[in-house]
Amino acid sequence: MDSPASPALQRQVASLYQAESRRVLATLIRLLGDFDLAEEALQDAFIAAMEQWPRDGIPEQPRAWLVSTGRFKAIDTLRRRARFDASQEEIARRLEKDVPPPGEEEELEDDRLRLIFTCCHPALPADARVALTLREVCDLTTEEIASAYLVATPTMAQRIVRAKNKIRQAGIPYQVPERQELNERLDSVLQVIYLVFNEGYFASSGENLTRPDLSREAIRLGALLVELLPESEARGLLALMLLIEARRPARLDHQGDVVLLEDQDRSLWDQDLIRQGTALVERALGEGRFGAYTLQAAIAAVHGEATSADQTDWPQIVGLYDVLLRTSPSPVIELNRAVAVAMRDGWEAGLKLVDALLDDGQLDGYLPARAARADLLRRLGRHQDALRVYQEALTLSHQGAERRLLEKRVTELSSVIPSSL
Amino acid sequence: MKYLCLIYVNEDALERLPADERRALHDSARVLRQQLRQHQRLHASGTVACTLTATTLRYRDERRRIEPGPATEGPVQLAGWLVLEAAHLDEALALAAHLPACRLGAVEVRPVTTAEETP
Repeated sequence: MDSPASPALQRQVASLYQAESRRVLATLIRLLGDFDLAEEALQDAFIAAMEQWPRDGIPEQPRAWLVSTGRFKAIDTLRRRARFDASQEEIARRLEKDVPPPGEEEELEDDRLRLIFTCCHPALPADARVALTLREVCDLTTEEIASAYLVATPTMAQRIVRAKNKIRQAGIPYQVPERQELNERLDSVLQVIYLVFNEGYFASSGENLTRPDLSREAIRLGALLVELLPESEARGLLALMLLIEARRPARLDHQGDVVLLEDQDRSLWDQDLIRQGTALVERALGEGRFGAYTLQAAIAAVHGEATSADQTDWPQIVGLYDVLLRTSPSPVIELNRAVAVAMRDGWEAGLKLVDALLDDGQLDGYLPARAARADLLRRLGRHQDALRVYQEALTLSHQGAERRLLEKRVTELSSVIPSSL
Repeated sequence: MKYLCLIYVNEDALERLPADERRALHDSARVLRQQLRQHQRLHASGTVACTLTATTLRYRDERRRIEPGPATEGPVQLAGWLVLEAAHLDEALALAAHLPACRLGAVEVRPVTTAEETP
């Protein structure tokens, strides 16, 4: 009879699971060619470890043991299914025949990259890419992902199932893209990571403004990507996330309300993250093949080194926005540039730009544009106009803490404006 | 795997093109098909006549209804199709990317099986 796993061994297996389960899964998906089969095989392999290791001791190469055991367990699973579905027997035979050579370390690291690229394949819907990446690469449970995105668990489960079905049926390959497609495909990976980060930092709905767990996962993913694929833009994105994350302690006041960048207590900023982020930006900029994430990170780094809003190098920030607009034009970036111009040249100059952008119509339903306009009007002392625009902005807000900030401004202004007006 | 590429173009925009440009377009599509065939990547291909020729059939309340035009309306219309052989989606997409319709309209890529292969 097997001896039961001692608590010490259980702890060892648990920490091995933490450290290795995604690597083992990534390799099993390549060997088995199927996400679900690989996930089941991974669980079976760890169950087998808990049964056998107390008796036989921990193998010298636990990861290789887990991969090989998982593969055999998958063949067993297929054999069992073959009793009901003869086609499974053929797959089992093929798997049994193709004994994989003991993987080179490099190949195994590539498996992790394959997993990331497959989960972030642009042929999958954006929300499914996010869900699948969090499930498969980050090992969040479906329940955790569902609650982070405030959707029902069955809805999230269905999203993941559909994505896996598409991978299987459409023949989405498990591979790192060829060089000529790498940039396009990397964009999709970076976008998924940044979406996860943003959902964690600026929760789009609900009463809580941030969900730090998601931001932490995004940073871990970003760091893993930089480790596996040291591209400049991957570094730029990691830098951007670190530099934004550094401000988290100052971002909300004790009531949980938003504190705007210029009002934040900068002594609360995490200097260690700022140093790491700034070093990464400098490196990415130095490599010369950077893009929008690196430029945004550079802007965040300029903020990071300033002791106050007034002390900020606004001319440099406006200059960086100019470069950013050339490489990736967008009305949202124009808006940010307009706010930087206001800081550099005065409120009137900024308001002119914001008004032109709003007249253009592209930012019609975009709350930060209304809020920026209202803010500039308020600073210019045009209280009546500011009040009206804050109220417009409120009609666009669905987020608790964001609404409270706007409502605070409305209350402040209402008390300043004589009631006879 | 076999991938069906559905070629969509905007019929009006295609109509408005100068005759020589339209011919050049058809020529480049033909050359591409030849190349695909030489590399044994093309199972079959064909064109679909314009939507003016389309007739849509539906049974509703036990009655047959015949209507002019395509079943769905959109900014682009089905104009042709190819069945490609590719190892996986990325390969199929790389092949389909050479179709002139990608620039002009859109190409939808889907895995297909032929009736005999369907389990």
